[in-house]
Amino acid sequence: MARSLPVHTPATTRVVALVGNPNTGKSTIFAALTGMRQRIGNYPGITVEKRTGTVSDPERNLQLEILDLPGTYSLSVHADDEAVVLDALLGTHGMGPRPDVIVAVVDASNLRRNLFFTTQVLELGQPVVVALNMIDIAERAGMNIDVSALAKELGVPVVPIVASKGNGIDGLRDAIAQSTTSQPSSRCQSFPDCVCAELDGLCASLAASGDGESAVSSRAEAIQTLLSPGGYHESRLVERCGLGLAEELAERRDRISAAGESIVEVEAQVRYAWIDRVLPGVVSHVKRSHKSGSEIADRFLTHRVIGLIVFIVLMGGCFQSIYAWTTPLMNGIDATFGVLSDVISGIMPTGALRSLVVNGILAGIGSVLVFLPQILVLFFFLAILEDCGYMARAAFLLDRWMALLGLNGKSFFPLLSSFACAVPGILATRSIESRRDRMVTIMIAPLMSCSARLPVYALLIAAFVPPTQLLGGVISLQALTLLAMYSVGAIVAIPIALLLKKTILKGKPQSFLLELPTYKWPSPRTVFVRVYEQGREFCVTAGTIIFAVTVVIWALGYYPRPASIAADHQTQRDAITAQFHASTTASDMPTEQHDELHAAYEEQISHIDQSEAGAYLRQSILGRTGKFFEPIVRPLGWDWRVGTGVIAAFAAREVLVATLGTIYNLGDDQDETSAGLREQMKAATWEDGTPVFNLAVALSIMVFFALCCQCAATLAVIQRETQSWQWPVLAFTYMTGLAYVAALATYQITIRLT
Amino acid sequence: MPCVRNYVTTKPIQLSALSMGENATVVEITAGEAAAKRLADLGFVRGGHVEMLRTGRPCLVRIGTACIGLGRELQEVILINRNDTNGRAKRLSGETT
Repeated sequence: MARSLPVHTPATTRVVALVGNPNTGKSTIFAALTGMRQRIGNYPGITVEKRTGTVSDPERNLQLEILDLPGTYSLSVHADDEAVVLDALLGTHGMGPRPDVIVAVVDASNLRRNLFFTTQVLELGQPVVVALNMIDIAERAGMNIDVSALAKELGVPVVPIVASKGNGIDGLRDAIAQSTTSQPSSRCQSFPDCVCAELDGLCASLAASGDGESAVSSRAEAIQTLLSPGGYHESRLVERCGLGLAEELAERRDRISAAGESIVEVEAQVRYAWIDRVLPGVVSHVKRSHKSGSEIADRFLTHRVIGLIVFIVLMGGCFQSIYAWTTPLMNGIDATFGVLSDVISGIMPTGALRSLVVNGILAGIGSVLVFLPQILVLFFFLAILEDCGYMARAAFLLDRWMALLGLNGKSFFPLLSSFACAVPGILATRSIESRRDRMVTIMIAPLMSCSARLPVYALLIAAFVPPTQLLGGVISLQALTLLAMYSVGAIVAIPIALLLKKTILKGKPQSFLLELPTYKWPSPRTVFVRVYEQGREFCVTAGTIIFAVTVVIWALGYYPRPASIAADHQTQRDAITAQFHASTTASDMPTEQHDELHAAYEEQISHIDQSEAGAYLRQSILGRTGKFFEPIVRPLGWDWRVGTGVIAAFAAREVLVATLGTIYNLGDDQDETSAGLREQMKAATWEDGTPVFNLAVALSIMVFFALCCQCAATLAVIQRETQSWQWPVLAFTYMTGLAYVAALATYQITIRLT
Repeated sequence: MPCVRNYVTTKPIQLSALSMGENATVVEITAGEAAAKRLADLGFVRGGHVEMLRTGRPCLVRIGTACIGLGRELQEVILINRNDTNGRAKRLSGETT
């Protein structure tokens, strides 16, 4: 059994950075290489966080640490997410060590534009492997690429792959492992003499300042510093070397301009000229079909009228499906939790512990988990639209509408992501170049109806909006209400954005500039991973934060339990029991009459039980706090229970449903089978017996949730991204105020109309 | 490379003046430094060939093999010469037959 293992020296770790233009399938390659679950975006800015994964190669005794970086078109930095790429490649600004190997991912069907960035990367002086992705798409477009000729021209290994199908990934892994042992190769472009002289001069003065960068990367850095005025490199180097450098740069640029070269264009001219010289020997065109499928699709999908209609129909279809597909599943989950709590009620003795498990934990978590199917379907649609390339078209179409907000189409990505969750939405704003545009987008992103609001809408719509079919059964009133709730935030965002643009964030919107990637079939793997990750995250939240809040809410609603309440009700119970026994002692009583009396007795007892539970809840800390706040929420049509739920939901929105589940269960007759939160809410009454909930109250709660910033995570991420407390405080204040006023208006208007 | 058949064009026009399906050669970028650098890196350099795929704000142009959407301000800063409508535009993308 004991087999002696060969003695190994510890594996050498190599850092591998994945870089490339947006939409080249970098993240798919990353997932294929590492097998790590990873979210894949079809637009710049989605993979803004540092993502690493490890691959071990026991044969070569290597450990590859792979770093996935945001997509970028150039090393000259224009947006925050591009700065991350640069820092990671140069090993600056706390991004860890310089990578040992750089993998430049290249879209084979768009070789010319992709090679621009590749030539920049080659000059960094690190070993480079080119991953030539999507060769299948290039071949379909009639391009034939001579891989060895390309490798010869670039001077680095080129590996053809189709990442979506996993083809060529092994070859890429081998090439990465081999190149770590080979010498760094570099191929620098020859700039015009006047530029070369200035670059050499700048390199020399940078070397003299002695910041320890290797000579080759200094040259790459010198190019970006000298030829990108006002850019990230310049400000960074000036920060490091002092203002003398700024003057030196100005002088050098003046000399280049005097020699007749354009500072900002010369780099592109030199690189594209080289690419255009090389490409004819690499790419041969078999026969270019007249129009590709992508072009034909874009004739309609980017059309101002047809495209917009398609977009609206698509979105409407998504919302309708969220409703239509998930109802049976949700009923199933509901029923499962009902059975579960019945079973537990049956086996556990009455007391605090059973109340905690049944009314606290099961009721709370069950009422949130029931919405998992809807969240999965929402993310399923978002993932498909993203992966096939449609999102960029949507941004293109909506640019003119975003102009109404004083923003450009690029803000559409973060705002659309915010419909799933504001946190990734706010992170995605890093791809917006203009700071003012970015701040406005961050401030309105939490208004987009995120998936955490969905449980609240779903619960209230199912309970209080009639399922009337409209337009001959095309769409139901319920789906329409859901669509309306999703639109409320987006519509309110318009005046808010305009107001911000007119006051504290004055400025012209940045002009739209965006590449529309070739359409492709969404990869099932990518879609699955995305849906799985979001589902897992939702369950983790349900299992941690919501669990904790539920238990706290349960405790606040359960304690204190004054003995007087129990004694009072026991006296009543005893009296009724005595009365019942007295009236049934007559031996000649017919059985029917006895049964009738017994039923009446049972009913009276159950009334007393309910009133006891209600008395306990009103006496509890939760009840008293809720009662205290009731005057504030009363004008919105809410009773103290809703008010308490809303207050608890300021940590995270989903908590409302869980809290209501707990509160209504506590106030319920505990021996009764759980009828589901929906039924309990329908049965809830004010003290005078009128029902608490009606359409007006439901709408008022939904509008409040649509507009209120009830999310600690969002506020924290705004603070982190803006590096100030001013913005999260502003977001919280304006949204809460807005939510209250809008909910008040909704209730007061609806109650008068119905 | 100097354009031999320069007689068709006279004065450079803005990109926004192109009609759908027309080809043109970039003559000059008059944008500010940051925007000009960004455009240049994407391939909008002197001598680059563009094709107007859809006019409007934003418009959709093809440069090389890439499809790029451009807002109004950027269309105004890209100055171009309309290519001879009879002669097929020679692309820089290596697609030259």
